[in-house]
Amino acid sequence: MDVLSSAYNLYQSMKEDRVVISFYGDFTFDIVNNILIFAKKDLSNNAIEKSVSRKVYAILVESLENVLKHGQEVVTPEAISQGVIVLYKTPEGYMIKTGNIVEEEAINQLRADVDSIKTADLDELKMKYRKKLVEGSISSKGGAGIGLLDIAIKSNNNVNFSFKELDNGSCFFELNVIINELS
Amino acid sequence: MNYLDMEALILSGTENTPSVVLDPAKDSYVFEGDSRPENVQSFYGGILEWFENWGEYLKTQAASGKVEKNVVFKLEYFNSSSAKFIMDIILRIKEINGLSPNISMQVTWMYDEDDEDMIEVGEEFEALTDVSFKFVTY
Repeated sequence: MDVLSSAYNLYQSMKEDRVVISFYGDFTFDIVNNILIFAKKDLSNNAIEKSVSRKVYAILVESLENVLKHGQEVVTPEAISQGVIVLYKTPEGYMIKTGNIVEEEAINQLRADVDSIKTADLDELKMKYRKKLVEGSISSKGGAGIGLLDIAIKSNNNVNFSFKELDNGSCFFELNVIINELS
Repeated sequence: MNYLDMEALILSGTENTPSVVLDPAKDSYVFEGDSRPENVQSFYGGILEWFENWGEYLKTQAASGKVEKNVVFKLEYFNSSSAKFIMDIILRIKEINGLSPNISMQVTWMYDEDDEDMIEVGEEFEALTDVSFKFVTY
């Protein structure tokens, strides 16, 4: 079905996919803040176990802030981040997917960070996190560089990443996180 | 130098920043709420500076007797960038502890009883800094 062929199709499609939150466009702090205010209420209203809703919320914050901080195709003082995010229910719990363009200069560092996470088990991830907590510093973009680590740890390492090379040298970065009720 | 020389730092909580009460006159030091500020550096920078000044102030107090202080963290949520700064605050508390044998600093780490992540991160901070932590449910 072509989801945009009618509002009904869009509605049905999102309903079948059990979408809780979805957003495409400019990511500003204001928008991220409002999405999170909504999510906090929505997750606590539903009959989900508190521990799961807490994890979903925490991972949602980090995922959104990741797009907000790093989703600029070209980094200038006026550049606004753009991207996409969806949070939806699955039979086992929840799934969060985000996507954003990453500027060419940031790609190598991001690939390195991702590789370091991919090859680590949960204990190693926690050690890396601890190390960054003690020794790390705040980057020029205002982050502590531990958001992806935090997502990996909170999801019990149920995270995967992909890079899609684009024509102009930048990349489209995808982050998928699974939050299972039992993990 | 008496307590009037050490100014309070008081911030109201918002949807994305915690309320902060650092009040020597009331002898109350509490962080409460959620932390995911738009600019972590500018939110926590002033707070870290306050702790440095407090350290100098408490060192002077310690010359004339025992000084015992308790800093309370009653946070529901904080993002990874905030975690870095909370770590820095606790490290400052550790430094203050070391300024004089008369100084005894404690952290009260409050958590919702079924929030395992909050307990765990508190235990991490305790282990990484060696500061005396008291764990209390709210």
